[in-house]
Amino acid sequence: MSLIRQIWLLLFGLLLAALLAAVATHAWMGRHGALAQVQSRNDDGAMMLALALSQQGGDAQRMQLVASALFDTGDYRKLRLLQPDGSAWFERAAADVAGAAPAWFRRLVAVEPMPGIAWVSHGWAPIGQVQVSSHAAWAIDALWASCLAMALAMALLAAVAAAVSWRLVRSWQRPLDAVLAQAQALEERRFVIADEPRLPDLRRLTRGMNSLVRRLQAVLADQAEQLDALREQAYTDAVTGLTRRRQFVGQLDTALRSAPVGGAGLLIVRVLDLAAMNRRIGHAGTDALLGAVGQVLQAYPKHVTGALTGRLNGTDLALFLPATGMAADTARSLVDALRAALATVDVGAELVVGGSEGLSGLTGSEALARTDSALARAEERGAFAIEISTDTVHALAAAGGEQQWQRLLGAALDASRTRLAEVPVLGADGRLLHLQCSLRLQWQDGDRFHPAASWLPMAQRCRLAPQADRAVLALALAAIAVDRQPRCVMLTSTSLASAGFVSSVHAQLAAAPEEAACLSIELRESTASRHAARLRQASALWRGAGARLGLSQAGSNLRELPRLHTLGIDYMRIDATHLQEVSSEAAVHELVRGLVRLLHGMGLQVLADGVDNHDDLAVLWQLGFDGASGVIAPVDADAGAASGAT
Amino acid sequence: MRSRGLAWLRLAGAALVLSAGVAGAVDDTRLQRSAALAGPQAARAMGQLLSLMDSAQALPPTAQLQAVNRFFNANVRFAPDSQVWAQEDHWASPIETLQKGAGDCEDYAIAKYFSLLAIGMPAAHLRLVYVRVQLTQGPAQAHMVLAYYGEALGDALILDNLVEDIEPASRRTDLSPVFSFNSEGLWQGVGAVAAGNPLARLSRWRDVVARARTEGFP
Repeated sequence: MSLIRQIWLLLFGLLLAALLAAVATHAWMGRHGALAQVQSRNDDGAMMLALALSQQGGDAQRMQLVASALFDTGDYRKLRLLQPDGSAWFERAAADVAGAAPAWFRRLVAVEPMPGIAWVSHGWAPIGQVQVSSHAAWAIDALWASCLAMALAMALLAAVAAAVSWRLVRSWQRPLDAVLAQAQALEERRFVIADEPRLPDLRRLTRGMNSLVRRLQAVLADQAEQLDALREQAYTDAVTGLTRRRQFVGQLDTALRSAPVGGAGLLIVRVLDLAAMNRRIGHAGTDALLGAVGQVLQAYPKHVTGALTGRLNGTDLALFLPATGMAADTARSLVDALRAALATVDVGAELVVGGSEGLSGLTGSEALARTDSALARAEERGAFAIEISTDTVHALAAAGGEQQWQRLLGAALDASRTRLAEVPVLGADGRLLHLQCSLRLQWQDGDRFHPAASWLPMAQRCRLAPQADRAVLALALAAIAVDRQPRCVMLTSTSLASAGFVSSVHAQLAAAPEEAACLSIELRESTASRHAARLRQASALWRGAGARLGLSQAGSNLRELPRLHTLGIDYMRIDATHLQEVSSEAAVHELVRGLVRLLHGMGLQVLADGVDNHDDLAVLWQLGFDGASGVIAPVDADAGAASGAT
Repeated sequence: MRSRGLAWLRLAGAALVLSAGVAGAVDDTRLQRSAALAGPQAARAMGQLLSLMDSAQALPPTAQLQAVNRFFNANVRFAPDSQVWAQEDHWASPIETLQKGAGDCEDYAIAKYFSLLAIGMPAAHLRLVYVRVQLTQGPAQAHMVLAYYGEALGDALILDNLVEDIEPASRRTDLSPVFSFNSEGLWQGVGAVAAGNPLARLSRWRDVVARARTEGFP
């Protein structure tokens, strides 16, 4: 039984016991008083009557008269005159008066006084005995009244005491509930700091828990920083400070998947004739020059969110711009800045810039290939030349057909021309962990079902993403109802940000609680920083309905990982780009191991996405990953990307 | 531990003695002890009284009356309460009277009454009587005597401290009775009210009865 309930029981029990004890004691002691009163009255009455009768000179008639007079004018119940031998001589009796007290009380109290006895004499001769009894009823009535008054007073007192203690206990209950809520949150892996209550005992407790949470957060923040540093080392080229090629291509892949509608831009800066430069200024000088170029390029990611830089090979440095139409202007300002910068180091240094615009729906390698051809054309033109290639067709199609897209998508969703695509995710023991689900739409009957990668960016632009997300959720729940296999769906951050989405998803989950328990919901890691408050709200509601919550495409923002603690996440799906070459590169291996340790320390499951070779997979199991998807399972024949965009 | 055990035994013994007192049995040792507690004179006098009571058990009632009357008339001298007790009126229990060696009319009557009860005379035969006495000189005075009514309840025998011998009431023309009482109805009446209850001792008569019973008289 909870503490508060025990306190209530104790309080009420004590009050009740006190009330009953007080009234009972009062009644019992009052009984003695009542008895003594009536007895004394009896004795005095008898003495008085005997005295009066003794003065009547032995005249029987006069004695009877005196007795009657006393009886009629006094409050006596019975008056008896007895002969000296004990036989009855004269008697007056009144009806027994019940009194106002109830019968059960009279039975309980049971005051039975004895009659008063005295001797009547005439001169020296004893001529008889008198016995006098009074009514006991009035004494009992008085006792009853006082018991009632006592009970009333005690009840009033008890009521006041109860009210006061109610207020007091309620005032304790609130801080106690707050402390319990914090403990509950800790249990659910939401590491929250609570306000300190005023009660000293609870304050100490809360302070202790808060300091524990802070210490944990500090440890995790430390670990995250170390990991970040490790990552820098692993991924970064020492000379230029830019990302290495392999990682850059992977990042490019991810970025292109969430490219804006008009397409993104990619620039490559090539330093010409490195061998000659080496001869002119030596190795160190060349490195310094390349470093200078890298520094200029690095300015962009600082000012443009989502911009990426990388070193592709000895001479080529790449810059990815996630916005539309910026490539040409950026290239020009780059050339101007670099021309001045390079001149200070080496007068003979030359470079060219090649770029491509309107990239979308391509893989990283494809984008690089296109930009390479532009770069080749720029090189033919000469030093400090800029060549941008644009894919206007694609851009136009995306921009102009917005209304058409809206019609297509709306029709497909309304008519439920939808299908669920499932990719298995295996656990370390080789068994199926869950099925990763995405939505496919069919424009017309008989058409093929198009994967989410091809239409989801447009759906977001047309504000149909919430409807699509609700559709995939409903399909997943229905599928679980059929075969009870755990599944996971990814929802978009635009849906999360839209009004009413969180509660409508909660309603869907609450309507099917058994299926919800087998469901996991994923959101992109970037959602955690952009829509933290919404995510917290969603976490509380959806996890409360039984579903699990996870973040996918994770691993890029290591410093922020400890803060994810407070949101209430169950697992993280690490993006493929962070896991590449984990079996061959020692730095990556260390990085991934530290990451797994950090995440496990926070109590989260760690899953791997897009593992593309068995060596990497073996190492991942060794490092303690809880699940992986990618090459290890047969993929659908017409599958696109495994998860949706943005 | 041992002393604590003895203390409990003493307590039990006292309770037993007290309960015997409440039951009304005559306990010679108890009387002796109460008298000893009261003082040396009382102890000596009680010793004499106890031997008298023992020897009087076998005698006929009139002889018992004579013995008790003579004893108290001899051993107690008459003195007013103001002198003996420094109070206007005080009804003394028998042992108190024996200790002081002095008392007034009601003290004599009380002492004789309880001693006769202790010998075994039924209370129904005895009465204390308020009388008016006409002395040889001066006006009539208030007085109390002990009256014995035999089986016949005819003529009473008067035990008086004013007169040496016991005389029948008809011969005591100087006495005119007003009211008579004894302790008969009292124990019946206050059965539920213990002797320790102060309400039971509000009247002088009940108070002295309670004290006499505590001393060990029936």
